[in-house]
Amino acid sequence: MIRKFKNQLFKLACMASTAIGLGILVLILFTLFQKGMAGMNLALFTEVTPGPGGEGGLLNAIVGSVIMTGIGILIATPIGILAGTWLAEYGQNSKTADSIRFLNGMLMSAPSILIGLFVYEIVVVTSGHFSGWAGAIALAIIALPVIISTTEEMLKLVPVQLREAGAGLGTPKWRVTLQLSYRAVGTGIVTGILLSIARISGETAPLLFTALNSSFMSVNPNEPMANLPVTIYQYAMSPYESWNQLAWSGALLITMAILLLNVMSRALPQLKKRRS
Amino acid sequence: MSQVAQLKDYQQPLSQALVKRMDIKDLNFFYGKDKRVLFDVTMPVYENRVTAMIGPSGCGKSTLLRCLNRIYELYPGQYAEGEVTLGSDIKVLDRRVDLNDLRAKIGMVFQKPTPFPMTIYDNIAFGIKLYERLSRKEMEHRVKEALEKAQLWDEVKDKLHTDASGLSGGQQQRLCIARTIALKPDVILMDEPTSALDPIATQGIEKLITELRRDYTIVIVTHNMQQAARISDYTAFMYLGELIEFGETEQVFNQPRNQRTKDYVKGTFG
Repeated sequence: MIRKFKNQLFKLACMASTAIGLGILVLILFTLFQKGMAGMNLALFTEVTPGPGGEGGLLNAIVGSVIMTGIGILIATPIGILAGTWLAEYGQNSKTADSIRFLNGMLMSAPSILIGLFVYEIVVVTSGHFSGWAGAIALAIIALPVIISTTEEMLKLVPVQLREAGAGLGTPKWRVTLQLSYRAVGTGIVTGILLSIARISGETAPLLFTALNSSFMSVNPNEPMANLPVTIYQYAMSPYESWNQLAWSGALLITMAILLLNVMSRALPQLKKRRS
Repeated sequence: MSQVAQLKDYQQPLSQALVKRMDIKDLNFFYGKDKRVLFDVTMPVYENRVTAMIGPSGCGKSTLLRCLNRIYELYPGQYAEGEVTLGSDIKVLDRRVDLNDLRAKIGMVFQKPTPFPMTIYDNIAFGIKLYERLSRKEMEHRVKEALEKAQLWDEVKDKLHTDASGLSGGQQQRLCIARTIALKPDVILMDEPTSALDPIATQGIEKLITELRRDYTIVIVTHNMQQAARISDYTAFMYLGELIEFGETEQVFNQPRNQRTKDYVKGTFG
C-alpha cells in the first residue's frame, strides 16, 4: 500500500514538472504567435526597417541575417567536418585529440557575448569598422564546435565492419573516409549542420559588437549589416508601438525558421531510410 | 571416410597438381607487447584448394586469417612476427610491401555482410576503380562477370542501380564475394562467412565456395565443423594459439593424429 503510494507520488511529481515546463513553453509560443501574427503582412518582407515611430518592414534585417548565417555556415562547415574527421579517424584517443575535445566542449558552452567581444577585438578593431564579415565570423565560431562534435560522433557510429571491408579491398584510408564513411553517416552530419544553423540564426550577442545593425538595405558584408536578432532587441526596447510590433513579428519569423530547420533535421534521416 | 565423402557430394574432383600458394612460417601474433595469441604457426595454403581453420572460440583462427592480408594493421598495437609468403616472392609481413596492392591480391570476406552504402553496381565498381581505369562498357562487363561468378547476377540484373542494402543477407554476402572476386585476387580469405546467415543462404554460399576454388585459393575460418568437412580440402585445427594439426580434411576428421584434434572433431569439447 505504501509502496504503491510512493510510486504514484513519484509519477505525479514527474507529470507535474513536465506540465509546468511544457506549459511555460506553450504560453511563450502562444503569446509569440498571437502578437507576431498581428504584424504579419507583405510589407514585412518588402520594406526596410522604418525610422522611429514609422511604418515599414524587416526586409533588410531578414536579408542581412540570411547572408551572415550563410557565410558563417560556409566558413564553419568545412573546418568543422575536417576537424571532426581528424578527431574520429586520426587523433582518436591521443592526448592531442583529448585536449582538442576538451577545448571544443568549452567553446560550445562559452557565452556567446564573449565570442562577440573576441571578434570585435580581432576584426572590428583592426579593420576599424563594424561589418557583416565580422558578424559572420562570430556566428561561424559559435557553429564550429557543434559541427565538429556532430561529425566526430557520427563517424564513430560507422561500423567497424564497414571500415574493415573497405580496407580489405585495399582502399586507402582517405578514400574509406570520403567515399564510405561519409556516405554511411552523411545525413547525420547534415543534420548537425542544420541544427547549428538553427542555433546561430537566433544569436544576438555576438552580432551586437560585430555586424552592429543598420536601417538600410545592404548586401555588402563590408558594411555594418542589418539582422533580425539585434533589430528585435532594439525594437522591443523602444517606446514606439510600430517598432514593438515589428519586434514581435521578427521573433515569430526566427522561431518559425528554427522550427522548420528542426523539423527538417528530423525528417532527413527518415527520408533517407525510406528511400533505401 | 564415408561420412565426409557423403557430405561432399556436390564437389567434383580437382585435377590440378598441388602448388603452395601461400606459406606461413613461425608466425607469432601480439595484441600489444604482453599479449601473445599465436605461437609459431607454420602451415601451407595450397592453390585452388579450400583450407578451413577450425578450433574453439579464442583459439586464434581468425587472428591467423587476419595476418594473411595484414588487416590487423587498422588497429594500433597489434603486430605479427614471422614469415608469410604469397607466391614465390611476396613477403606479406614486410613493411615495404604496398598494403593496398597486397589486399587486391588477397581479398577478404567478413562475418557480417558489409555492402557499401551505394548501389549494387557501384559496390562492385568501387573496388575495380581503385586499381583500373576502365571505359563504361568494360566496367559493365567486369561487374557482370563478377556477379555471375558469385552466382548473384540473375537475382540482381534488373536492379543493379538500386541500393545494395535492399538485398537479403545471403545476397549481400554474395555481393561481398563478388566485390572481392572483381579484383581478380589470388587468394580469398573468409572469416566465418555464413555465421550471420540462415541455413538456406549458408548452403548457397557453401556451394559457391566449392565452385570458386577452381579459380581461386580459399582460406575459410569456420565455427561449424560440418561446414569445414563439407567444403574444405585441407583443415587446420587450432587450439590456444597453436596449430595442433594440419592435413587433408578427410584425414583430420577421420584419422586425427593428435588427441586434442580427435576430442574436438568428435565433439567431446569445444
